[in-house]
Amino acid sequence: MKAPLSIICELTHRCPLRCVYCSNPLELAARSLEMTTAEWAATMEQAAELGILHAHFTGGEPLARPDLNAIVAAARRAGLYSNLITSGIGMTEARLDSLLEAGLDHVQLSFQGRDELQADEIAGTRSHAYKLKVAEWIRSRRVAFTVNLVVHRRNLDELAELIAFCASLGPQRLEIANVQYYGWALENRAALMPTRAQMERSVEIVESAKRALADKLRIDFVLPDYYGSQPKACMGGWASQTLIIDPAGRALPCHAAGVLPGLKFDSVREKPLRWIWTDSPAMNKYRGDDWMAEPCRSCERKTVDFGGCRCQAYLLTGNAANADPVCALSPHHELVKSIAAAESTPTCATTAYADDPTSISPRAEAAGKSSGWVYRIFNPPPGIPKADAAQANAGRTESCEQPATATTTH
Amino acid sequence: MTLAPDVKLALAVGCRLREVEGQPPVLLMPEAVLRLRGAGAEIVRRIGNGRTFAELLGELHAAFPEAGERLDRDTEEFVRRLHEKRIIEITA
Repeated sequence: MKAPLSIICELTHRCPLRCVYCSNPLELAARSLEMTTAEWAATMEQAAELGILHAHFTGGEPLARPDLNAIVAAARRAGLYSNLITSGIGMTEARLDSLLEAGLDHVQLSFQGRDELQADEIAGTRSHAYKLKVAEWIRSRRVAFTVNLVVHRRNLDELAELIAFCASLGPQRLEIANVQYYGWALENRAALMPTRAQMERSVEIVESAKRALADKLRIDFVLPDYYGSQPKACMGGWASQTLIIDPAGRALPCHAAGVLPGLKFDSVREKPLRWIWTDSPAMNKYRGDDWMAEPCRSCERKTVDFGGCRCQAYLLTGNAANADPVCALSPHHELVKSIAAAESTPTCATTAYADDPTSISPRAEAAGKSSGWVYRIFNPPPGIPKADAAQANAGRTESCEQPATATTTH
Repeated sequence: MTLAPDVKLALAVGCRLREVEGQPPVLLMPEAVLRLRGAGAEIVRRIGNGRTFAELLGELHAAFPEAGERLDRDTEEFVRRLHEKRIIEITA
């Protein structure tokens, strides 16, 4: 069994931001359930022993863990390449230096916009100004730096300006990702869905920026799912390249998989990581193509896109073994098209909380779904719509052209 | 265009070589890895320790005397490819 390339460690679901496109599950793991420092360190050792090379530390906000340094150090001791995916909130210059000393290789810093008011509205808290400071700290140190920018209907019209803003922060890489509709993002889909015209224009803008900025930074672009005719190769295939560990130690093939009915995802607290990866029933459920029905089973692209996303198939069609309805060959494809058409209308957007997002009570925000954003809430009170969803947007790896004298794996 | 002999080669920020006994060397970088073998590993290992292009060629010729003139061409091609991929930095 081929080892995964990456392990994505959701160290905590706690986060000072409340982004409306967050793809964490709606039912977030409580702090009391989080794995200990020693449990994460042991997981790093097991990951390296399994053959994993990259460790991505995410959340929630991983800086909410005071023991982040110790976990990063454990990853380095195990020989793993470590990547911190952060909002920047909780970072200080001293803490950044300490993380680099512990062996941190790469920092991915998220931005919600270029304008403070707009960015803070999307984040549901005041954070933009502080992120600018954090970006400066990262840029002034010798560490790989990626800026993450999530795009949606509300900001795609200023994509060229957003790219210029992100480039000015000095990263080596810019990742522009359209919202993927899982977790909290699914709750806000009607306010986030881009129009087809926006989507088509964004492709041109990104291609132009790639050419213009080629000698300064690399740009990776994740297209919006719902406008496609071929599904994404979700996670590079079920339990194929990436392993996710949630805050409580549950091992998942993607962030969103917890929503799928009938699957028991084992925990690294109870089972060895190698067994979980190779032998656990959940990891083997959708491996290969034996599980596929038509139109996937006889499709020549089944080894390219693996039938798309199991979670999206479940969320939109009710059956995880169906073809991802993003695929034009899916009998449910019209559903995706109709959702995109219906929900990309500007009337669904809101600026209701733009003036002072921090002043809004979470309960009021959640209850106000029909008239505004549903902000991410760490401890949802009773009555808030529960998720059928979680996330399936990570484990990103890229291909690297194979030089004559070396081979590439990703 | 041929690389100048005195240009300095170094691994780019965020790229590092992982060498573990009994395993092939791997170049780790953001969002990707490059599994190295043979001459590729020899080149990257030297670049990781800081070399001019001339120093790199000199050491490779010493290590692979049978390679002859082709070594210069193959090495430059590989170095350029690494640079295009932002895996190494080339400075005057």
